[in-house]
Amino acid sequence: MKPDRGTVKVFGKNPEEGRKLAGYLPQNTYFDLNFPINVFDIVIMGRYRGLVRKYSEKDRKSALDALETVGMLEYRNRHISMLSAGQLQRVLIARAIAREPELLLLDEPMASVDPGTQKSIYELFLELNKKMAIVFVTHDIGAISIYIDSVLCLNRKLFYHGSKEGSLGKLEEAYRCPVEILAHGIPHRVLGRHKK
Amino acid sequence: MGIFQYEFMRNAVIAAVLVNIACGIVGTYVVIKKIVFVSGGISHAAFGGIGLGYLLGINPIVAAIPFSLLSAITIGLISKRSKLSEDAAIGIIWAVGMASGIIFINLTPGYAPDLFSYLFGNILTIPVSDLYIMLVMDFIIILIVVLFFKEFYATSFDEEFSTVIGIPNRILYLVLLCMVALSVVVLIRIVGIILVIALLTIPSSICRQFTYNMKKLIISSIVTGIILTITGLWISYLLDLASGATIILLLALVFLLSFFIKKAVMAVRRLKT
Repeated sequence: MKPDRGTVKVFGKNPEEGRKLAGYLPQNTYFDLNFPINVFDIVIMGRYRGLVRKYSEKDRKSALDALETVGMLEYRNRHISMLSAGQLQRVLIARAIAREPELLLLDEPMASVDPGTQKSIYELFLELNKKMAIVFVTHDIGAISIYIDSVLCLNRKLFYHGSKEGSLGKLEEAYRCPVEILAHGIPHRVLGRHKK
Repeated sequence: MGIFQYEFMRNAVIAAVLVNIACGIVGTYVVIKKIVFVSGGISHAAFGGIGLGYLLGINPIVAAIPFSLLSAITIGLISKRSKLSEDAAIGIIWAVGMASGIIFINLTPGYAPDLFSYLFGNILTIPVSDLYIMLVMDFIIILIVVLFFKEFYATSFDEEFSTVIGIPNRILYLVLLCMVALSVVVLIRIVGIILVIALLTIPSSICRQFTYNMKKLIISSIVTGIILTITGLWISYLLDLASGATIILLLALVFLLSFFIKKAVMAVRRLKT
């Protein structure tokens, strides 16, 4: 997809080249759970570098490292139909980080994950965040939680709430509707007013 | 098994092996990528090529090759580039191919003697020249799949992610459809246009119940196809039945059996745990 106006740069490069530096976790995964593929084969796809090039020993090792990072190493030979939704999500995260990216793009990563698993996946992202930048796209306002450094609100315009911002403000302006934040005794952050 | 003393029987067995190599490979992708009816469209469109072969007085199989390649590419391009949905594209190409085949045969002077064998197949009348065509097709298909195994695997599994990592999905899809077209051409002789779908889909459908490994799936589909085709051939010889139809009914019967075997295996496993 090409932007109507303006340009997109990934680490100062155009997006086609920037792809090599970015790992991506799609919002919806439409694949067939009966597809003949196991966990390791999915993750090593993340190491793909071009036509005809075989996967090297290093590619294999990176795939195993990625599986270890997400805590799925012992499941590496398991078929995908034998995984829970949360485990599958971890495998897809492993596939994204097997490229050893500098930027990890997450599109609604919690959409298919139950709340208990969400917590452990947030903690995984926190761990990954030490090594790479993470962009976390979500419609779930409640997800703007203790795990996140800086927030960008997008509703036709992009509003940037700098890091460590914690003062009172209005999310309504970004979302154009009353916003209620539900927080069951969890620390939460309310953001400042959108300045144009 | 005295039947193999005849040359036509030896040719039939060689054809069974060659044709199932193509079908096992391409059929596995057809089944896991769920493009069975795309293959149906391509095979019926190939009838146009058969008719053209009669009209021009050349080997109908040779004429069917460019014809089915063209229909494969047309289906692929129409469905990806225009607003027409893929199944509508399949329907149109399917009908146009059959219709043009009939018109070409109308225009051909005289009567088309073995036309029936292209519709329903006759493995017993395969000339040696067609065996060479099958051999070349097998070689091309194996070469493509060995070279681009990773790419086909990734694009079949998850197109969106494949795009992100820079795999040319669209080109691979067209190449896959062209491979379907090539295997359809070799299949027409064995089981005929109308029954092509069976050999492309049933062996892989049987085997995928028992393995989750892609390479094992391809190889076991080839072996299953060869065994069942030759067995079907033998049964048709014993009972004096049409070979193509016998092979297909045998395939379907084994598929049904494998389905129940799989269920039984699962039930036993559940009892043990």
